[in-house]
Amino acid sequence: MSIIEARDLVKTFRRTKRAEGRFSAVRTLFTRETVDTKAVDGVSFTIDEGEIVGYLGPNGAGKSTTIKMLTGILVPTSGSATVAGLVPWDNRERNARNIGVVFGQRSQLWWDLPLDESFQLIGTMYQIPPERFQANLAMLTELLDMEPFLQTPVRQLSLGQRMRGDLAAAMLYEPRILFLDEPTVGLDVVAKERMRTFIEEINRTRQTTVVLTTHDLDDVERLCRRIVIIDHGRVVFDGETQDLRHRFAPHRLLDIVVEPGTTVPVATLLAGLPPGLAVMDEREAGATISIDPEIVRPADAIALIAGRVPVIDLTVREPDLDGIIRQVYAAEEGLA
Amino acid sequence: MIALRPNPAWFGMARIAARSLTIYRFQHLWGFVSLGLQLFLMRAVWEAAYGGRDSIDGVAIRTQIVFLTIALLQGRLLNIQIAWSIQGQVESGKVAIDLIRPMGFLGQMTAREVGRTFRNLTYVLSLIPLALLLGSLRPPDPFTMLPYGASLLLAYVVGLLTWTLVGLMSFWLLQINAIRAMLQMLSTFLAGTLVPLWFMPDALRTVLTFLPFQAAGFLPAAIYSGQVHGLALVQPFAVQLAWIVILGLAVRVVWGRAQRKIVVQGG
Repeated sequence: MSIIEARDLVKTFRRTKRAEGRFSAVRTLFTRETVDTKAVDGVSFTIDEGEIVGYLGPNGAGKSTTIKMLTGILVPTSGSATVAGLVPWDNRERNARNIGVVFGQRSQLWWDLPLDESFQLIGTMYQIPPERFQANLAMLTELLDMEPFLQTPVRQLSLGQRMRGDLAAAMLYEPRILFLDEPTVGLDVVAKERMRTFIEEINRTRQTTVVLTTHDLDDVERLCRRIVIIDHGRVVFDGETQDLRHRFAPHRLLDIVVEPGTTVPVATLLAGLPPGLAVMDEREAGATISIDPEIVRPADAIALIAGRVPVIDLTVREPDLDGIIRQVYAAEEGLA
Repeated sequence: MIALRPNPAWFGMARIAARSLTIYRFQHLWGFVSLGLQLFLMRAVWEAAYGGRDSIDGVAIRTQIVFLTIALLQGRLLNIQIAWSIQGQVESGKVAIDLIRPMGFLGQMTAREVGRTFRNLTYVLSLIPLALLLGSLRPPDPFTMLPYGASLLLAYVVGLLTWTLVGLMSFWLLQINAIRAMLQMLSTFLAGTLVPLWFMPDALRTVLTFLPFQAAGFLPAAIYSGQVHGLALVQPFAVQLAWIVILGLAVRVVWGRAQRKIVVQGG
């Protein structure tokens, strides 16, 4: 059963064109010329109840604008959408009860007051029955380990604590859908892990549908079976995360650091590598080599290279998300 | 439209707004001290202006002081900051958060404003005994208090609607500081509570009858100080109600358009 349906969503922002040249500041005041920017340009997808979907794209691709239409904040220029059966921007207040929203960059908590008072107000606003509220608050406090700072004013919380507070605020009234807009931005490793565990947990136990925008590939890998990628306001990939990796970035990257004082240049030492290995980048003190795991096992590749070059340190990594998205988009351009 | 439905969410919002304001104790205390100081200075200035005469242009000094004292006290309640709140939410992009709550945006802004007013009410109520003691205020009689209370409430609604309309302009202009500052300055003067309307030139007074400001300040104070009574009371009430209808409709239309203009600042 699909719980979110977006069809041909378009959002155009209009702003006054700035005059240039002499007296530009004054002329801008009187100009009627405007520039239109299409932030979202015909986005369609459907999401089923209980899914966790990663909604990805580079900065300015239109992710947040899409989320803002689905949460009812923005009215689209054209196109339609339903969220749990409602058109979000026509039924803001009713839609608000079905969705929980967390913006990584913005908080819905009351800055000057203890965290607990924000929760109490949410309890009142969403008319949560008292026993239900107490049970949910206790559960969330436990799961997000908020006991130590429930009575602390929000302005004194660390970013990690505030984000946990915001997640709890969004889940207190048990919404069917949770929209998370960059929930792990700026968090340290431990805090990120806690967020991910929480999202996994509520999706498993409550069947909450989660739509997640992020720049962190680890978030996606850990949580999302499916991803939708947009760029320049259009959907450029919609499918299983595994597929994306296989299709666009099957290789691993091996960074090596060579022993100082090696006289022969790294390039010479690495010349004539077998198929499946390719030198991506050379530096004075090392190199980056791409490994295609379909052809060479990464472990074998490391042994081979260590045999040729005096390696003192190495790391194996996966290509980053922006890199993959660039490839996805490049492929899309190629087809067009 | 402004949702004045008595729902618990609305009261919760008003309460938390008042709480946010009283949490800073020094600021809270200062609100109290500054109002007391204003009362004292106003009285000193007008007593000097009268220079020992009992009345000027047929206005007795006693009436004048009572009028200005009540105007100052009620001014604290009628000092409406909703335009500033709306602009703040729009400019910072926090409007996004307001729009995902299960309450209308203007309802939330109004609830916050009422919360603020209740905080101010604590200053005003605590200074009334002082004003009575100094003889700046006449002890209230029920035949004045009843219409005064009603007119004060209507003045509050007129102010709320006027400033909501100003605040909504920020959906188009983003920055309304200049307009707001100008109107704020003009409104204290045009409301006729700084210098009473009866000391203003006839032409200006005529113009002011066509502006909402006096309905949001002068009228209740004039009722309290005994300038309007009996059947003449019908007129100020009619003016206030007419403004509420006009401004209410305007807010409704403008808000309908503003919703399609929303741009969330800062991603």
